Amino acid sequence: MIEIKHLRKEYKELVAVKDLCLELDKGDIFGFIGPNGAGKTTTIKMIATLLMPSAGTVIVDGIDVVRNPEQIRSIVGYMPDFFGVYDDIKVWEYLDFFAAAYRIPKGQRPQIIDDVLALTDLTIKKDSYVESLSRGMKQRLCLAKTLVHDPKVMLLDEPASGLDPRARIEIRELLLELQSMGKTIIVSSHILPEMEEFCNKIGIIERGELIVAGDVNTIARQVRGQHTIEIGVIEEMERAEAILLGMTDVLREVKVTTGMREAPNSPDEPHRRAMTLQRVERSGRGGVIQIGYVGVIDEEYKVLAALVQAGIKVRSFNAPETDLEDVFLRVTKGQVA
Amino acid sequence: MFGNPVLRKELLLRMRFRQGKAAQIAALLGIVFLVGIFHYYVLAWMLNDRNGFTGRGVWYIVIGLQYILICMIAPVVTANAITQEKEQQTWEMLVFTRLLPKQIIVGKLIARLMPIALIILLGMPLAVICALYSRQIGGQSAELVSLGHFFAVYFLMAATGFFLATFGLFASWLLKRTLYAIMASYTFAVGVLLLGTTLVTGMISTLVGDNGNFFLKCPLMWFNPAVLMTWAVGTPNASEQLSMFVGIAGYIGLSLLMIWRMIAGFRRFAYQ
Repeated sequence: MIEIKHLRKEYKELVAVKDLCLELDKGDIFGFIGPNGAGKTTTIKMIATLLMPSAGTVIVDGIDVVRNPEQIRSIVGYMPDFFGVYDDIKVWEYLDFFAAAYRIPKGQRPQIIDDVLALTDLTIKKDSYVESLSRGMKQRLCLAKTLVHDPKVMLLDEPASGLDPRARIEIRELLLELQSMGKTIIVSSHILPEMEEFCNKIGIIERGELIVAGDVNTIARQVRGQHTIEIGVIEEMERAEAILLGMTDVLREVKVTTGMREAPNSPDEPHRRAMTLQRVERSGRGGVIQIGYVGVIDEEYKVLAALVQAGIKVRSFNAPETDLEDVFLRVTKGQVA
Repeated sequence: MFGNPVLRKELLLRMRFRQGKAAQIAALLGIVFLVGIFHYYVLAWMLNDRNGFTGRGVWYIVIGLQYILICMIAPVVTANAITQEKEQQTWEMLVFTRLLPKQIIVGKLIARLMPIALIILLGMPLAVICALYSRQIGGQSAELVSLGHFFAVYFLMAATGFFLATFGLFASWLLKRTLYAIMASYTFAVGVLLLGTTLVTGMISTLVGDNGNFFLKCPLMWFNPAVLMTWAVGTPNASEQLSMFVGIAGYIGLSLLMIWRMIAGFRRFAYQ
């Protein structure tokens, strides 16, 4: 759906975006993460035909943004990070203006306006003046405006910026609903935990360079070098530990947490030196063991099978939520442009 | 024309009066009252002094007031047309639509010419009465307000308003801040058109040893709004009529050139 090749934006003394390459499929929600000044907004504006790239190509649904900016605007919806509204205009008039600006026939506009208001939960404010809306409602109105021409691709620059927690949850749910409608969405944000919840792909940019991009879990694994799994054991923790310690071909060192007894690293067992098991918590004779899995993807079940076959009573076997903040901090150097 | 979304939006924003019905009616009555009072006193003055020259004199006052108002208002009504959108951060969203550059430029210009059109229309009935009165009383032909005078004056008024408003829009398009655009517009209207042409022509006259004829024959003066209006209300000779025509044509031509430049120079990308 979106192909970006060697995208570059230079100013006189600054290279805002350097050789950015990215591919997104239809229906992806791509989280664009980076510190302030990293180049997120610049990249989004180039895709949105608001900034002319210095080099590179951006193809959206087969259309080159540089050669056909007018065509791009009919299939792309853009919501800036900072936006104003017109005073003395009602909500439905505001949407009607933008619907007309996108050349939607007059006869179709009332229904479309009602639909986008319903989608963004602003129906009750249809006849209110725009300036009387709260910050969160204005954000939703801007999102409604972005949807009025039913774009295939949506570019949202910090859509939840400045919103209270409830409003952020509403925006998040709205984005998930838009994804279910088949829209491809690029979202830039600083709120990493929320990005984890609705993005299936992320890209981390710093000083104009896209450091990593792709599936969230794949990136997390790439960064950490392992896939973290938590195993809840009802009893026989030591035996479970011993079994896991023997699986050195697929398990590796994991993160240390509190209340732990570190497994000994014997110099006589070099194959075990790279691996440490850490108990996350203890409850009676049971507990939770966190391991770092480095084996073949989708064969994690073998670890569970090994424990069960050995008679270990396993209460839970799951991967904890990917800590995007951890990934971000590991990947970036904390440099700003 | 009214299918232009920008024009409709601009008119809506400008004509909306959000106060209650009672306040709206009161404001309307107030305007009618003030205009009516002005008309009444002018007409009463003319009827009490049955002299055709008075009719012409009042006609000068009405035309003069309208022209001064237009010259004062026209530069500023459009000077914030684009800069305000940028300052209130609505410009990006506007440019990102499928609106054509000409829709944006022309829509904003036409909507903001409405106050100028209103000034012309509100004063026109009284000007018509004064002109007709001057003819009814009789007198020397030089004191009569002819149909030619009437059309010349109002055509000049419209052309001047259009030119100054277009320049204001051009300044708004070119500059980043509303304040700068307003300053540029008034500098052009007063500093260049009114004073600049006079000063430069005076200097040239001095250098060439002017015999008194050069001043108004200098092409720079053909664009001076005060000189043009003097010709329009007076009895210009053939040469002055031609100069006046060139001046008005120049106003319209330069306005169209600025409009073309804004549309042609409207970047396909909002920013470079």
